Amino acid sequence: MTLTMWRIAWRNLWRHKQRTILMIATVAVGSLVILILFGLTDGMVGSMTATQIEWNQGNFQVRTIAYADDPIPENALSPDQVAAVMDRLASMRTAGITARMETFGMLRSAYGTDGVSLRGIDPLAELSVTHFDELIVEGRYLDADGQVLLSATLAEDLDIRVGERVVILAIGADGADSRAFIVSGLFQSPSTDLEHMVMASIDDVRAMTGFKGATTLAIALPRGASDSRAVAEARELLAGQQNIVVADYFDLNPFARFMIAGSTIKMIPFVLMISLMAGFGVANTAFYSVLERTREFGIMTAVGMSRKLLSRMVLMESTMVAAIGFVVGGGLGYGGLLYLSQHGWDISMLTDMVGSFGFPRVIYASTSGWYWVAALSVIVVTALAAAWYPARRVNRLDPVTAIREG
Amino acid sequence: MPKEMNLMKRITMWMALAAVALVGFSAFAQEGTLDAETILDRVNSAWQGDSFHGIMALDIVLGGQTKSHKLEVWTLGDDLALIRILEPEIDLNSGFLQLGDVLWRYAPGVGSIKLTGFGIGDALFGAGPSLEDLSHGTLSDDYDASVETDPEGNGGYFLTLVPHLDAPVVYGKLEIWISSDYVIEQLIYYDQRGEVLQIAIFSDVIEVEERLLATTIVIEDSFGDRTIERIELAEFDLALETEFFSLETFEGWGDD
Repeated sequence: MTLTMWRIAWRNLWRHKQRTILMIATVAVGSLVILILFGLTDGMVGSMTATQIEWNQGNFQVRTIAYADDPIPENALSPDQVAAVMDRLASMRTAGITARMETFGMLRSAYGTDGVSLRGIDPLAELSVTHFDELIVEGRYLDADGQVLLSATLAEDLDIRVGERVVILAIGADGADSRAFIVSGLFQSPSTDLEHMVMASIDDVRAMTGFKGATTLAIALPRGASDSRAVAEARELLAGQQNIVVADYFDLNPFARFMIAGSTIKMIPFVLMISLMAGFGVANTAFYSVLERTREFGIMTAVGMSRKLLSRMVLMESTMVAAIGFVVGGGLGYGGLLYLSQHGWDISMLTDMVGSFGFPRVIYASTSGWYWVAALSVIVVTALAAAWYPARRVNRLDPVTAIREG
Repeated sequence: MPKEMNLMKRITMWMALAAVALVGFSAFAQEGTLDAETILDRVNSAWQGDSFHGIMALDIVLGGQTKSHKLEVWTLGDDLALIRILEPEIDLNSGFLQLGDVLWRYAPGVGSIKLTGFGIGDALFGAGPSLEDLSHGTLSDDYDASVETDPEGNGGYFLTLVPHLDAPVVYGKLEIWISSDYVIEQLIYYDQRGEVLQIAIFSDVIEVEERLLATTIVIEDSFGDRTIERIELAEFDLALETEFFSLETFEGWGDD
């Protein structure tokens, strides 16, 4: 009997192809949008985190309390503090640890001047944390003092070519100091906030600023290691060190905490809106379909078919529509997410507009299986709930009235 | 770049170029072969340590549009400079004060704002080789210089300055034409690819208190933007006190 009912419901659906296709499209679009929304939002946060950790900050950093409040070289770790921290963290399982000396400055070429963040690095040790050499698109990585790496974007803005001399002006302990550097290479900046970063050897930056220590120690962890456990361990190891703090990802990127917390909350109205759209779409069409068949239902009831079976048939029709719509929309949406997870989506146009919040230039979509569950629960359940009213109306049908008025 | 920094850049460019346009008229007789440093020292020697007061008009042509300014300038030694804007009317009595490495911007009704060290560096940068480069014996630190006698046989000099690899100079080469009486006639800045970046032409030389002064300087860059600078008044060796170069002087403007 049930199989027969499914067959009848299936045939009913295709008595009005356009209407059925419209219902399927409504559910499909809703499923697709929810999948894409979840995948891209999670992907954005994931890409931002990965970019900052892999290409900029490492998994966590050690710095002074004063530097956290006011990031100037005067608040750097002293050489003794650097040595003490290195010594204490030596027992930790890390992928790399590197000292950096960072300050702000002006970069000048023959064609212009721009403000930059000058990062002094130990070229070899840095590669154990950020693998910056993999981002070089022209020229070569730092291999001597007196060289700098620039982002390709900055080089284009100031019309600078590899091998040319640039002048960097930085404020140090003894006032402003200008030095010439040769551009050894250009890197493809993985995020907007690195476009104005210039990398030079830490000895050069120390000489310019007049400070010998390091503003930060960046630490990278082996793949699969827990950030929170490592940060807790580092805090324990450095507990006795005065004026020194271990900064985790959220300490280094307060904006990320806001983004992650905000993204879930911000999605609720969108999901509700899409659910309502799909729900009303299905309910409206199913209701119209029931109204249209009132006389037919009256006759079927009069010849002995139970109203319960009829209402179940209406629900079956909606179920099939929702299922087909979900499979089509979900398939397309997940296919899209799979593509974006591998090829990424270049959002540099958008990030140029919103400014430097550490957004990656390319975001890779997330393809968690939970998005299917989210889309299924939201769209299909909403569609079925919306079909409940037309089914209820069929269940309360009076055959005589239905035949007369239908 | 903020509007006032752009103006400041052009003003300081003028100051540096005006300085190299001056010469102690009777100080040097023609001699035999001189090296580049000696020639440039002579070009600048009249300026060093002296006080200066002048009024100059600036026509700045940017992107086909011309903006005109008139400025009153006082300098004392290398470290003190005061600039008062006379025109346009909207900027009247606003100005700049340079105290060593510190630069102040003043606007009536707003007061004085200290600009960062980057500001003055940026401003002075537009002048290419600074006065210090050319006159304080640092030329040989930063440049390899060669001298030729004027190819046209007028008894002047043609200098080519090539910055050292580690010199904090973004230019690839400078070419300077100097007359036989040590007035700069033309200065060409090249980028590191050998392309002309900027040409400064000095003309209308007059004698002021036994000095030669180019009263018109036209600076044109490779984008076609130009700055035309005309010195309308020039006075030297005034009895200026260091106290004159202070924020209080700003406040007094408008009362006179």
